[in-house]
Amino acid sequence: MTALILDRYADAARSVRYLHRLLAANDITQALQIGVDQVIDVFGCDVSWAGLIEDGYLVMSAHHGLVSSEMASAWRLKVGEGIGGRVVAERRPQMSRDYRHDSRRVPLMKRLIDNEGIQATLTVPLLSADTSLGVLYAAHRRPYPWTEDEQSALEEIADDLAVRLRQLDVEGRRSALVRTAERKYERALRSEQSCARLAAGLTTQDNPGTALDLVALELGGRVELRQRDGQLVCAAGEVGEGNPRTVWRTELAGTQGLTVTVIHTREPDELDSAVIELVVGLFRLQFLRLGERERTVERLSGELFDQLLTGRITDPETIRQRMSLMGLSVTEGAQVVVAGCRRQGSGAPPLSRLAEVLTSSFSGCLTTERHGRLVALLHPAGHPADLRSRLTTVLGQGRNRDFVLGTGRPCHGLIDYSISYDEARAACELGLRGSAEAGLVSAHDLGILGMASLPTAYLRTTVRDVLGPLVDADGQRGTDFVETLRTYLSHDRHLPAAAAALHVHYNTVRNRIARIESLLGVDMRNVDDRFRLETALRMHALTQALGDSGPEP
Amino acid sequence: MKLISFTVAGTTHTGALDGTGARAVSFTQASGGDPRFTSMLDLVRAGGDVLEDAQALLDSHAADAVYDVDAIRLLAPLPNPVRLRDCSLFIEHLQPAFRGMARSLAARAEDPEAEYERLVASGKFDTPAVFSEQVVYYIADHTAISGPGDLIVAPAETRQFDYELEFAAVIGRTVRDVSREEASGAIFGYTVLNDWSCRDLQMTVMSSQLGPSRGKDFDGSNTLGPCIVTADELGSPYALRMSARVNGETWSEGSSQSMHHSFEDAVRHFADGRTLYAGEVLGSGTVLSGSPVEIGRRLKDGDEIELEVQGIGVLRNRVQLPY
Repeated sequence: MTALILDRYADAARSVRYLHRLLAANDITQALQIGVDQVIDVFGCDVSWAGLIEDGYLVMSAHHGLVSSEMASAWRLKVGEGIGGRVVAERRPQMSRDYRHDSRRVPLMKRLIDNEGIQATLTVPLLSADTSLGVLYAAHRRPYPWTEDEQSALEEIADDLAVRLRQLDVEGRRSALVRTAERKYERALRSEQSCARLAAGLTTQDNPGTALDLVALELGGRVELRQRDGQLVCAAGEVGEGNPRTVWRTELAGTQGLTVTVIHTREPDELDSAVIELVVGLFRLQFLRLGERERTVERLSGELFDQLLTGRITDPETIRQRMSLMGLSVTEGAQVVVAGCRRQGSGAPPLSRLAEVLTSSFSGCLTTERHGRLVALLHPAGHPADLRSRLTTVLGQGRNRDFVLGTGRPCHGLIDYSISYDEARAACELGLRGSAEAGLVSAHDLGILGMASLPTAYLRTTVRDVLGPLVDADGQRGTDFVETLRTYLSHDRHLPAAAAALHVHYNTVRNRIARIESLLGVDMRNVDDRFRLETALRMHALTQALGDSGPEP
Repeated sequence: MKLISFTVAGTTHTGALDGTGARAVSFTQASGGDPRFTSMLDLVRAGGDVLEDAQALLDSHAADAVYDVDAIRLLAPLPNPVRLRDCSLFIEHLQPAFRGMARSLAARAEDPEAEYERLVASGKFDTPAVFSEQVVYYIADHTAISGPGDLIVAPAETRQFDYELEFAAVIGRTVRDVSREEASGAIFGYTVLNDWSCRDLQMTVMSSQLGPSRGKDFDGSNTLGPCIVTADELGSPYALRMSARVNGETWSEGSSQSMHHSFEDAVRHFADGRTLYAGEVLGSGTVLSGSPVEIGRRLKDGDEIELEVQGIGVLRNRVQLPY
């Protein structure tokens, strides 16, 4: 039998025909099939098959004589495992004379081989130089004593096959490289074309929300625009099937810390990253353009100011988006400042001059004029004390000393803007009427937080209720009870200090206080009485400063 | 093995990540409907040779059961644990966490520093000795499980939402009254756990002395994932680097080396005169510095939190906050 096989192999004509057929093979599959057919022809065995390495696994690539479709489709072996896996890993042949008692077999493959009835295998590597490309099997459905000569014969078939595989593989790789380069070029071209379409589309969008929709559509994921503190301005797009992750996060320069986040289920490759960067850049340009337009419109109409400063907000979401466009955050301590001028008439410096100074000192500052006062929305970063010091610096410049700046509470939500405005305005009016030199007055320092937004009628009624007899006496008999009470309390009930401040005698103050206690029925030693009087005095000052206008209705 | 649960094209699979970590092999598909691979809970409960058979399926890498990891959606590896106990196996984090809570409470006072000192002096914000004497735990809601990539939506009423960097042991054998060796054998594998917490709600309700209550009880409040690493593959779970990143910035770093109690202690404790069931999950508690409250930081709406435990993987989620 062995002699017969060797005779067949030694047949030069047979060998030449094999080489001719191999040379004629157009692809790897054809070459492998020619290889296994040659094994059957030379060895006269029942079965032959070949496996090639793909991603660390041997996969069935050609076969002859198999009877089960399962073996043909499911034979798959990890490199290093089982008999075939060892052959490629160790790059040397393995014989199995009786497969049924071979401990090297992998459980899953064992079942496939047993179903085929295969009992003896001779396995050689397909070697190109020192690299294993795969394995070639000769197999019998009965125990069979393989010889060294047969092993050499199978190795020769495998060597010729491996040479042809390497040739085809190299050719295949070249064309694969060309195909990859072509695909990459086509992908890049498509990306550029769609970016051009996006750029054209973005310029026609009037608000950041719809612009972001286009961006999300282009990127095929979810895109979010957030403020520095995490507050969502707008979002677009959905993530598809998969586990979403942030694949891109960038702060948009020139937008007061707005951040664009791209969320996708796939990690972007180099080209994807370049496209994301370009698309986000286009969005930024359109965003800045819209922002500039918004500022211009606001300068002309003042509608946003109206809604914010009166607290009559029709659509909070729209307001938030418009504020973001103008670089204003609604959650990070934005500040309303109201300014007025101490001097009146032709010699007074114009409010527009102060507006210019504020705009250049605070980036993103918006200004408008209301009721003869300048209103500025600032977005100062850092500690409130920094704002105070920066505003003081502004006031220290040239003719700005004539201005009085009033500030209210920092704004955290949209509703705070109207309250902060009322407070800033009241502080400004009190500052303008006060004798103090300070040009910067805050509602906090004046103790009027929470009061300035109350209706004037309510303030008057409360003042009347608490201080009525004093106000009447001052009005009718020219007494000075209200001022005496204010000075006495502001000097912590210290008679000599209050007397000095009022330029009267110590006893005069004592007598007036006794008279005030009697008129109002209060006791200055009682803390509740003092609290009511203090509150009413501040309300009184507010009604005096704001006149009939009070907070804006 | 790194076992996973995932969906692809609307079908749920139980499987494992291959050696590259870039491909998932579905046992549900490759086994041709073997009931032991229907779900992770079935796999965990199956016992016997299930892990050997799973390894054979993973090695066979059958082409029609292999998926690109980017093309599937990972779920919580065990989406339906039969019980979830979160334990205080780390106890070093408790002191800073308690002090962090005291600081948050004091911040509302007129003089925060004086109030903080008063609260600390009251002794109510010290770690009670019981934490070192026994395995203290609370029973978390085992129906409130979320997985990798899920959006975590914080309750509308919270104003201080935190992650907690933990990992957890999955029990693979039903046991009662076990030795230390047997306790070790009862552990099937390990996964990363994020025990999301509403600190403000927790602080308010803790005065009731009835546990964290609403502070840790909301849909998806326990995130598990991205996989269960089998105990044999992970080796010792007591020298693992643990870290938490927020938007890519590392906020928390620690090691499981600093655990005061072991998972085996916990198994013995929970199986002492009572039954610990296969499919239960035991949380480790938070590693030192493993939560923003301990390091004085706050999460923002839209933040992406990544918890990483060496040898297990990265558990990534984004948060939606009402503030």
